[in-house]
Amino acid sequence: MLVIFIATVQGYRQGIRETQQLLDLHLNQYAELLAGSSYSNSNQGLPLAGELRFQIFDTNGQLLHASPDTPQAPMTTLVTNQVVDASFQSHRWRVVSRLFPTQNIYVLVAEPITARFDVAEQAVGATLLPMLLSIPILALMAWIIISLGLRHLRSLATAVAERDETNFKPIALSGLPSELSPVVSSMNAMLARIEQSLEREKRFASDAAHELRTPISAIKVNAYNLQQDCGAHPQISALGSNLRRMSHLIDQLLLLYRTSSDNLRLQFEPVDLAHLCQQAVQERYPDIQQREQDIELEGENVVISGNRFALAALIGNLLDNASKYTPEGGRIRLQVTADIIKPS
Amino acid sequence: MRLLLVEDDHALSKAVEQALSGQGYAIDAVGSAEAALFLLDQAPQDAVVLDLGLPDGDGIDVLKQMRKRWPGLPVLILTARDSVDDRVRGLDAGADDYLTKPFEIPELVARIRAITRRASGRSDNVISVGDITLNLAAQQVSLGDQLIELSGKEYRVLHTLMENQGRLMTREQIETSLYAWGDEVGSNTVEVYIHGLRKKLGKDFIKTVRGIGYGVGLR
Repeated sequence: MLVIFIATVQGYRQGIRETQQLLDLHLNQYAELLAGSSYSNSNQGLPLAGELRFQIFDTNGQLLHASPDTPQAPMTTLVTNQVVDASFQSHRWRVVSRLFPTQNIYVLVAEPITARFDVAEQAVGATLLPMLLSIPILALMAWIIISLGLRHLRSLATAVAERDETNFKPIALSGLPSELSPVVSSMNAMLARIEQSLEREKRFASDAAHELRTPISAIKVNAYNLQQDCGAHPQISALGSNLRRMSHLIDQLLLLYRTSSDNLRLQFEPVDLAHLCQQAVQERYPDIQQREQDIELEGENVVISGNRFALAALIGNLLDNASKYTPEGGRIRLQVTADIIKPS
Repeated sequence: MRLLLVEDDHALSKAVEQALSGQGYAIDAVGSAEAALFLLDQAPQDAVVLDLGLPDGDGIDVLKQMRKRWPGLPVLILTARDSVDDRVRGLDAGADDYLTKPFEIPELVARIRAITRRASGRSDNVISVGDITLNLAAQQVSLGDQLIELSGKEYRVLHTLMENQGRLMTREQIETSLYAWGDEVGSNTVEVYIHGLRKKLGKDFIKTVRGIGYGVGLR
């Protein structure tokens, strides 16, 4: 588009320049015509094209003839052969001055610059106007074609943006232009590979956690047997609480897998918080007893919609921390109350 | 009591064998499904503790075979798989109970005791916690040598607690066990019977954890 524009501008300037040369030639021919014609002795019936003016001087600078409405003084200096711009009668003129030695006369012919310019512009404009008009049409067509082409790219970009660690669905190939198909195919293959490796990673963490449960069970039972053989010993109970901490960490690791965002959202259900608290206390009661802590739960049945695993983990963590930071023989109070919080 | 332990982890198997021997069980420990089925053919067992991840097959398949050939045999699944799906799959395949690793020996013992009792219904079956003895056949409870008169529902609440001795039972779990007996359960039912039991058995025998539940024989 820019090229067309620049070419048009350049063509315009070039056209104007060439038309000027043509018109200069025309002026010269006119001067020759004047010099050679019988009209050089009279000003009758001379075909005055447009607004041309002429003067004919002898070699002494004596005005012999002039067109009507022409000044007495030479329109420009009398020289052998030259075309110049001059000003008189408050107009700009293009003046040719020619010496014709056979007749011993100078012929001066003038033409208003504005008229010349109009002629030039008409000539050049006629050729360049279609080009100039084609620019917006071309621009409009280009815009339509490009946005049609980009529509597929845009929908592809949206489809790619929708993919995250929970969504590895292959991008639909139907309706795509053939040049995009290989791109989308390789993208789908990449999505599948990422999904597989992520799945492998998750399964590895889950498997590792599961695998760890067996040796931990063994150590736990060993500690139990030790206690049976040697009686209660502070070192054995320390071992027991460390083992519980380790099992707890493993549970957290498994929870991480279970509560990955896709699982979490799918498994919302009505959950009674008081009930979850009871289960959490029940599970941890051996630990709480070990630390000779007193625990109580106050509260109503509060049913909310949530993920059972995640909520159980939340309450479990609160309870673990409470037990951890309450001194031995201390008291832990759990309270479940419903409070409507309006979203601000 | 003879117990078959099917567990492929040698260290765990060894430790559990030692712990349960100390509780008066005779243990046969095997590490594969094939060995388990072979041993069951050779010598009758009172119960099976079954790990699900076995080197020569899925424990669930082994469980189904056991169910087919020894329908009355109590089986407790002991596994690292703790999802609800796994649990349901295990119980659907015919397991009597399901315990996840890591576990406490007292809980394992309590559960083995519960499933074998359910299976045998033996007349001489008694559960003791401290001075209190519960005779399942006679449905009698004694404190030392003295027989204690309990109402039917009091007896059933005590039964549940003593069967799960060493564990804190939530009020809901006790209610559920009363339902299983076909009893009507109101909102304060459990509190009322616990109150009655306290009066008859002494106030320290049943421990209350306020808002949570009750337990006997808690450490």
